[in-house]
Amino acid sequence: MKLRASTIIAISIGLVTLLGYFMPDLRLIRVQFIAWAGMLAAVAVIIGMFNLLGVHGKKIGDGTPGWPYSIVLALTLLTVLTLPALGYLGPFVPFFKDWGFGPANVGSTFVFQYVQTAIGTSLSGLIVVFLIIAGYRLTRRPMKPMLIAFLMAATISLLGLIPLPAGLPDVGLHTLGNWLAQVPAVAGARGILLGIALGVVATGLRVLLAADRPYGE
Amino acid sequence: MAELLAPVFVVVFAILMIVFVALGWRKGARPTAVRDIEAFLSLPTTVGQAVETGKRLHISLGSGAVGEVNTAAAFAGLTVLEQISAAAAVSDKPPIVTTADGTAMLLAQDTLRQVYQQQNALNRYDTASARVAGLSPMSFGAALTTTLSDESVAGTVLIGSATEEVVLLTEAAQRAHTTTLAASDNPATQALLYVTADSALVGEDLFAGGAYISRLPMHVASLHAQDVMRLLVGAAIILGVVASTVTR
Repeated sequence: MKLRASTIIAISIGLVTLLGYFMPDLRLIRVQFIAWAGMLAAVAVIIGMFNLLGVHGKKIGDGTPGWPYSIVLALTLLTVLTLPALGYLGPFVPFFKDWGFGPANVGSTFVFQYVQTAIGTSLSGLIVVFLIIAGYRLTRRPMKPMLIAFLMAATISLLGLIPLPAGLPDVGLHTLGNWLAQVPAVAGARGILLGIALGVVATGLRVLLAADRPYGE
Repeated sequence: MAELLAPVFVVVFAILMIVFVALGWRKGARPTAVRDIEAFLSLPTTVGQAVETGKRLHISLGSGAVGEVNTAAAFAGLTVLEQISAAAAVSDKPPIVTTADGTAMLLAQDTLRQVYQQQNALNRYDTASARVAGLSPMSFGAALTTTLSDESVAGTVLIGSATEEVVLLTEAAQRAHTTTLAASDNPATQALLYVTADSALVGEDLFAGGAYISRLPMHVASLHAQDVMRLLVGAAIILGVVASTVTR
């Protein structure tokens, strides 16, 4: 196996960071490496933003389907980027006098509260509708034991959540729904999380053993 | 004592992986058998359809960020990207990769560049093939709904960290009559994917891509090591419960 400088550096830093969790003497080095990683990630966000602008700029230039949406995206991005800086115009333009500075200024807060949050909430509502449609579509798939178990558990849990109309006797659906959510579902989720944790350790070890090289060669 | 458990766990895991690799390499070793995972069995068909129909394969690394708790899931996505983009790169339209994280985008670009370089087709590599679709999970999900139709996508493979925004992608894929193979490291998202995606990976199958697609020795060995460690952890939990009950 050919080891290049990038591989040696990546493995060394990974090992020192891992050992930093177990050896107090290496704690400071670990914290420093993580801080550098945080800074690099912040720079990567800016690169990602330019990539987003570049992709949509190309779409506009090529006139590919949906290019008008790309114009909206580019203009929105530039506007949101400009908003925090408008407070500096306060001494010259009275409108921006009490505007404030940084990401918590009046403009940014307005966009976050009345545009981003509103759109995010409406998309979440849309997801509920899509899930109901997907649930219906699920019943048309070939019935396998796992699918039957899933559908039964989902139906009982949903019925258990519905308040009983006055006069109807409680046949124990509420108790059964609660039991499903608190015992088998929690046990299953813990089993899945345990498996995922083992997968995470295996992935990390493969990187440390240079079997996986996501950082290039 | 308790603080020693974590390093011992990691060292035992690493030793097991190395032992299983060595066992796989020894003379006369039988090919390792792994259980069938339906989603991975259907993957070559999805890639083949993309190549034959002259459409693109869309590979998504999800909305998780490299450098945070979702790093391993993003790495699992990059492994799958490397394996399947080699096959999909011969298509008229090269695969596109989407993510919500700048670091994951840079790593995906590097992975794609290496694949094209290995195929002596670096002139066909386009940096815009790996892109940030949106910088927040919800904007990422919303952007993917148009990506499928705008980019003439034949199938989507999502391997990475994601939350409920994946439903926007899977629903768009249903409308576009394209197949979706999806996996996430979030148990709640796995339930959503089980309902909405054509093929969903459950549990730690997300990390098994390298072992299933290309039978990479270290990936197969890590699967076996995971199985052994799972048994050890399970036994430790049962022993702990028994000990706690007896001493109460």
